[in-house]
Amino acid sequence: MATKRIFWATCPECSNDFLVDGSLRHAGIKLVCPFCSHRFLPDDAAKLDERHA
Amino acid sequence: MSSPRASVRSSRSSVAGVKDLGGYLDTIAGDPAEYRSVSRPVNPMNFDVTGILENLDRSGRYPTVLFENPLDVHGDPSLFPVVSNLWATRERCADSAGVPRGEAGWQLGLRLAEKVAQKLDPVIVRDAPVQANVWRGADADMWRLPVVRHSEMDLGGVLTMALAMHAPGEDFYNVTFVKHFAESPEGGGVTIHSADMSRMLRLWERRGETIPVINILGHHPSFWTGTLNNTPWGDNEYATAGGFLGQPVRLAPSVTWGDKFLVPADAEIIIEGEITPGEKTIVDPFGEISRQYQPQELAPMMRVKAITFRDGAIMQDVFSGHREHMLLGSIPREGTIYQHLAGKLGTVTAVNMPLSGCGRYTAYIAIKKATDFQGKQAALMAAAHVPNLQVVVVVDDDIDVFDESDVLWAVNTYVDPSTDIDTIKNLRPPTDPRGLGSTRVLLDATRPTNIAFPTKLRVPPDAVARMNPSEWLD
Repeated sequence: MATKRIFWATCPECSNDFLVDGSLRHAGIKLVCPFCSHRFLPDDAAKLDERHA
Repeated sequence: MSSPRASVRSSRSSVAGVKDLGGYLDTIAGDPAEYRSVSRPVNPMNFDVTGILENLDRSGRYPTVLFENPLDVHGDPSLFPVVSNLWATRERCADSAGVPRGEAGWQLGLRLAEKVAQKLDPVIVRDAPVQANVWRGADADMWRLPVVRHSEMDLGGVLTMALAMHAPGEDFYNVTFVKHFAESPEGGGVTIHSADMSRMLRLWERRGETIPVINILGHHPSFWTGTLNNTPWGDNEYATAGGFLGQPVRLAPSVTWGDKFLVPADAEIIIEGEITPGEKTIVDPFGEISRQYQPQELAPMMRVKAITFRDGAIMQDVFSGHREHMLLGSIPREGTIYQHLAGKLGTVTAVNMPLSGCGRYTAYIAIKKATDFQGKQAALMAAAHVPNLQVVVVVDDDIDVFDESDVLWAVNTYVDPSTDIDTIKNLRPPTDPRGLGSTRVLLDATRPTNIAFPTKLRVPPDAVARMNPSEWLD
């Protein structure tokens, strides 16, 4: 099954999870938490779920 | 006390004989099944708008809803009401295409496809209602709009109507529904996925020039319906929209670029903005057509140059991932499939892209089968012709493709899994992480005619016609 690569990031500030496109995993761009607007790099996420098919 | 709705309407400055959104709303306002208003203040950024729409949806009610007193993104009372759910029924989609409601079933897609050919060249006017009010500079603050946050994980408030753009040096315009994230008062990311608008963007980027673009936040429904069908590169979608409106789209020079960019004069609200090649910003998650969240990604940044609006303007919004979002795309595609199969096979009798497939991923096609292999042939041709179509089910013409239980009966009864289900693998990469990915599934659920096979039972039609229960039941 071919699917686009995505991952879940857990915000280090509010602990909510949100969905991120795989292209942002190592792009050096800060993610924006949709729940609290906190900006952070993927490596600084409280948790990452990068499982894929 | 007069209703706020009445005061909104009374302050509008419609042009006699010219179709606009307010005029359309007046045609449905008397029917509570079609139209409801909410006069109490609501906060669209706090899901008040979509909370009401979701409740209506879950109870099987699909009226257009006008929220008369929404807050803006700053939390202040907005100058503009917001209307949503306008296309949530096939009947209102028929209205918006100028098609009789009696043809809101399988005929509707076909009528839309026919109307695409009835183009009317736009006309240019100098006195545009949409430019009755102009905000520039610090006043051009998109947070003064009643931007709607739709789904729980959405990055923020999103404007869900269309952008219009033209290619450098060209005078034909493309109008495409996009997401415009209200990241700040000055601008936000725009997600551009359509082939033609993406091509325009690339052409501008190649020249390294700032890209003029407008976000049209409300117009008569026919204007929008006219922009939904896929038309060849070079077609002016303002002309296509005119064909659907039944009158030329009136255009006016923009307040930012003058004659170099023409805007629809009878729109409700227009954001004039610019995209700088290479400048991107974070957008998404957003609850999309698949009823899943689109993952966070980068998209071009659109910076606001001016906001113009008519007196008494109403902002339009699409209830994303729900019926109107699905129907907006499914009905034109139904027409595309019908025309394609009618031209190649001549046996198609009805096409439905059901809501269970989000109006994009599944097609139920009824054919009057002439040879036993036509079921498979029709499925293959449809899958090849319409992007994103993932499951195609072909049935006989005695199956009602708008009755999903009827279609599934045919699947359960006629399909031999060893011969009637085909998969096409390794197609283009999917744009969303959906289950089927790059694979398509074709089901020939027509009754086999190459072997002795049972027929579907039926009570004799004359008995059904003769024995009306209302005349017989005690």
